[in-house]
Amino acid sequence: MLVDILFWGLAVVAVASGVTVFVVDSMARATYALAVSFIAVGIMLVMVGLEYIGIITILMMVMEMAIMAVYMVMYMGMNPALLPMDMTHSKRWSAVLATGTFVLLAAGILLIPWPARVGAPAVDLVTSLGEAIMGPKMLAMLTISPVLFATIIAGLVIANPRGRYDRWGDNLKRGTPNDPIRGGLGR
Amino acid sequence: MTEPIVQVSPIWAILAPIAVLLFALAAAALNGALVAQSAGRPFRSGASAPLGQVARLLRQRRQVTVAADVLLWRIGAGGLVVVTFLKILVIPLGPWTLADLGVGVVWFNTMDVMIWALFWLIGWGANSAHALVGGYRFLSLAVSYELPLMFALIAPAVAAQSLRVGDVVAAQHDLWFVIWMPVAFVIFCGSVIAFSSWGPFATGAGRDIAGGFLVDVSGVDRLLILTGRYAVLTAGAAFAVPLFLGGGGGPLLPDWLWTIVKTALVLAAFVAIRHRVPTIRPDRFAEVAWIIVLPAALLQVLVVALIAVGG
Amino acid sequence: MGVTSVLARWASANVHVLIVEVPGGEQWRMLLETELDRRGWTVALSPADADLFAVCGVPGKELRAASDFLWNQMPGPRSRVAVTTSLALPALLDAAVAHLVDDSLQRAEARARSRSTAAETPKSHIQEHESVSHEGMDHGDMDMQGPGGIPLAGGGDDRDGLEMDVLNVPLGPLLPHWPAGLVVDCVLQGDVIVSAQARILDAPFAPGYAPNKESSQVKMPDEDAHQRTVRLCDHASNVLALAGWQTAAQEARRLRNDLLSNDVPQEAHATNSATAIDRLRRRVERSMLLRWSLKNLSLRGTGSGADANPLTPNPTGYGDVRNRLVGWLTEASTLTGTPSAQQSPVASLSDRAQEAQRALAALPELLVGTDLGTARLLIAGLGLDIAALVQAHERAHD
Repeated sequence: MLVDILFWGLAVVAVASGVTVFVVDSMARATYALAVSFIAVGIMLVMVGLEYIGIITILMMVMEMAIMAVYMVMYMGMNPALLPMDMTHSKRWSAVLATGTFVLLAAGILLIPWPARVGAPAVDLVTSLGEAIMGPKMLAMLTISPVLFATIIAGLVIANPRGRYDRWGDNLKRGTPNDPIRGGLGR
Repeated sequence: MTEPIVQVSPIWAILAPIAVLLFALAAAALNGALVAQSAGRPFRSGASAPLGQVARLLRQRRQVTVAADVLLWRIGAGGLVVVTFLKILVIPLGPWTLADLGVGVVWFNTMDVMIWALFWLIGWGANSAHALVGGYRFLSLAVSYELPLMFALIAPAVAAQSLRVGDVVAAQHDLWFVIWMPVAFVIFCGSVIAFSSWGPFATGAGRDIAGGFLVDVSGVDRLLILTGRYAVLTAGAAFAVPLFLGGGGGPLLPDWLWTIVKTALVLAAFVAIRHRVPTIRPDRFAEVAWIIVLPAALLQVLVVALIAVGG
Repeated sequence: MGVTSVLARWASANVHVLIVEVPGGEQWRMLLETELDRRGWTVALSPADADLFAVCGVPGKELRAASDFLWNQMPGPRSRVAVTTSLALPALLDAAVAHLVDDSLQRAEARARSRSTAAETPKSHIQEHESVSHEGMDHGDMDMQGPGGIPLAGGGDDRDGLEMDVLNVPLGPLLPHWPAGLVVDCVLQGDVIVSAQARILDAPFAPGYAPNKESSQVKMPDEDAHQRTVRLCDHASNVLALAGWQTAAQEARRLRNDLLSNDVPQEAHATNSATAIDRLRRRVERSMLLRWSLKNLSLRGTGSGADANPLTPNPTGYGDVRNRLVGWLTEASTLTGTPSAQQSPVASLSDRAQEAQRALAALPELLVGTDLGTARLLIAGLGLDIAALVQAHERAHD
């Protein structure tokens, strides 16, 4: 009973803080309202029994929100201030799309005849979940993540307007790199 | 021989915050004593300094700045102590722990990531140039230490083949982890000092930006932030004990007493480091963290994994 | 009541003092700091951190306006002293503490303060602006008032070509470890200084650099070895504190205080001081971390970057900050080690004033492209002797 109340309470918090993201006037508040929403979802995952995934969700999302504060100031100019701002665009179409998706998903959840549970839950939920989802394709999964990481890094390197030749000179022979602010190792 | 970790009833949760605050007070007293000693005054006058500070800050009124984001400011200021109390739930005192989570190590890491948000909120809330610079300095330092910290936390978990703190303690009954994974221990200690914004990693509150995120904080908020810093340092020192120093293991004394002794020693070392080492600049530290420290952490995890799988 | 008076008594054990130094008043500031160190009190880093506000010297109009502004920013309980004489400093501080501890007095002052700030709230101004409403504006207007009635920052390209907000931040006249009376108006993007301009606030009379005596004494325009040593230790302490090495800075300050209190040293004192300063110098030189922190913080007027062109003229004639620091400590140690030469002049007023003028002129270019922390270190590394500049100015216009 208590668990049900807690679960529904967290669900309400998650949705409400999600709405708050678009309602508040300050980017800083929007960022941390989003963090609160993710924390609520993380706790709900813990309640469902996926402890590791739930706690990792909280960790990753709070870290992301903190990093987002850096980009927020870099790119958003005056919006971090407590000024009236409107974060919604194409209001009509996005409302239609969002409602449509919600109706579709809700209909699916309520109308599909879900199979009844056979047997007892596995001892180690996370391992069994992982093997069920990724089992036969584990090798592909293991290689995908370093490939993704390498792609991100490669994209950043390519996008950087200052390349090796700007830093090290035309012959790549300069002693110390030509940087606006010197790094710790002078590399 | 250490006893297996057992979860106690939640009633004891009242004692845990009190214990942490007492340790924090002791750490502050040690810091004050060291400051007094370097200024040429007697040891004792500095040791009573924290109580004086508490009294002074309780009397002081709150600073009000123009267009401050008061909600976020207060959340940031009060959050540090709350995060500490959440952290210590998984730290065992001898054989007793408040929350025997199956993912205790990750819980600790999650709570110290909350600190990223809190220090930034403190810097942001004041609507002041120096405070904001202080908050962002902390974030830049945080980005540098976080990955090495995560790998340093994984190393004992790999060796114990579990994320449960009790299993990590049990896996050290032969040999403490600090002996065969020293790199992870050093990185962990450095990261604890960094996320407490203490000592060599205190650039967020540095004197060259007029106090950084502490520039416009006064009264109760300042007391909460300063207490929070010491409390988080204490929690980090306390977690080093089950993770690397064998938990409550040791001859003669009971487990819980050994835990307290080891925590006190680690905490004293952390406090003393501030007085030996100048502050590190985050823009210079970033290259060192990514080019030297992170590969060292990865190598450490590789070595530990080889030993754990092979041995 | 029992609890509040106990709290007040405990709180008075370590009072935080915010010090405003008038150019020419460094003698009094150093005496004040000596007294604070003796009592175990702390120098505050900002108004929010302070209980006691101390003005060392008699400020001019602009500096007085600035110090009043800071006084208004201090949260209660607070007290104010003016340090214009070296006599009776302990009594002055004791009286200030008594004022701080007096709860009823502080409460009355707090009530008076709340009433006066409520009367002059700027909310009325904001209402006027909002009545000129912006209908249909969903992205805001560039001259729309921000929160608190402060206009929003404009944008500008930063060094990477991104558009970032441009913030005008004046550094000074009061910051910890900052030259007295200096104001550097910076234009910041993020925490990087894009452009800077330096100026000095007025000071109608500089009381002269009288060593340990009243200002009615004959003015000593030329600096003797003892005064120079004290000043060098002071500069070294500032650089060390800004570099983050609080212990070494404290040590330098303690040495300065010792030197200040024995202005006519005996042989034994002199050798002790000289060895102590030398010990500090060796400690500073040995520290690898400090060397790494201060690496390439060049005081040559070539602006930012590690790529200093050796052919550009060096207006200040200085090397980098670390060499300056070690040089100061070496010179201080040498000067202290020869007690016979203590009272002989080492640097004339005009020389010092010219050096300060050159450094001040090179300052804006030096700061471009540096971040706030580096800028503070560079300014401290210049070792500006503003008092000499102001005094020479006075003398020229006498």
